[in-house]
Amino acid sequence: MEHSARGVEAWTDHTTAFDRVRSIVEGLDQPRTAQYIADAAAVSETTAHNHLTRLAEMNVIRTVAGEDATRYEPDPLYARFRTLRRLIADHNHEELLELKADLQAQIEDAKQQHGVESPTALREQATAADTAAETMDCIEAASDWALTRYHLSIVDDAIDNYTEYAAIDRGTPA
Amino acid sequence: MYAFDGGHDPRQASHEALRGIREQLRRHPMVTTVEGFPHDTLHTELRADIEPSSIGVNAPRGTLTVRWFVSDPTVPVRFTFHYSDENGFDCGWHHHEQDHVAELGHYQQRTAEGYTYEEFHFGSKEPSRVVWEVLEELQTVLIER
Repeated sequence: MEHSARGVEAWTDHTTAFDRVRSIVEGLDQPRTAQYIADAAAVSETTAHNHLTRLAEMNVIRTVAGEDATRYEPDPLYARFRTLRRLIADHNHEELLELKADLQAQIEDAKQQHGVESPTALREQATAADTAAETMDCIEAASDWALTRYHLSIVDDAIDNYTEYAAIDRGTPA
Repeated sequence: MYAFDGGHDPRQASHEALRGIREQLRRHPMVTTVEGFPHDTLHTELRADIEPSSIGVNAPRGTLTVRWFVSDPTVPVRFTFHYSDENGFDCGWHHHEQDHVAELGHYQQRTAEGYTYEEFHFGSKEPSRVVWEVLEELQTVLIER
């Protein structure tokens, strides 16, 4: 059964072409061409190209030169600062310290539970797993662990720069 | 630290995929709320409250739990969209290794004897698009029950 268009009508009913292009390109895990993004976002290539140009000018995404065509990917610094900004807006310094302790505890739990020192080592266990279920368990746990490390790095940024960032967020820079 | 040799960081890709999925879930008329876990912003899992009656489907309220795992561009993305309702109905659209069907994509549904599995071909593996495909499939499943 062909599912390729399933859900697209509802998606186009509830979103604009710009929303769809932005959501596709922000979710990419590798650089893609305007044609690929247009197909995924259910828009014409011309529309995708116009919106991608605007998003690149806004530094939401960045371009990567390809042999045959320009490719687009999320701007990693923009994405990181968006999360950082949300943390600063929603938490005071004390809450950020508590959040850091929670994340550190999750990482220690992962080390204890799996008996390895890193997500990379846990992924290597996945390749030696006996069953598909065990493989998936290792992949899930390693991904969560790696993601928790990424989150911890952002919380560290927020804590280290809290005074300056919070003042900027409140519109009262020091 | 976790090493990543240049390019796009798969950890950031996983985080941004879930953030984007959350945005799309919020736009769907069947979804009433979406929360991130274990922390609302720094999430590894999303849980969306589903109200089928909001689109005229006579079915109890349920929860859609979403997980998304990016490793690196050479490895297929894995993800799970799993649904359960107040009456114990339990099903999911998943894309990962298992021993029941040949490809990674599958639909599974709990029965009295355990889960049954069938192949499911996702039209796209881009997170935003998967949201709308799964919610349309869910709508169909709930109507046909």
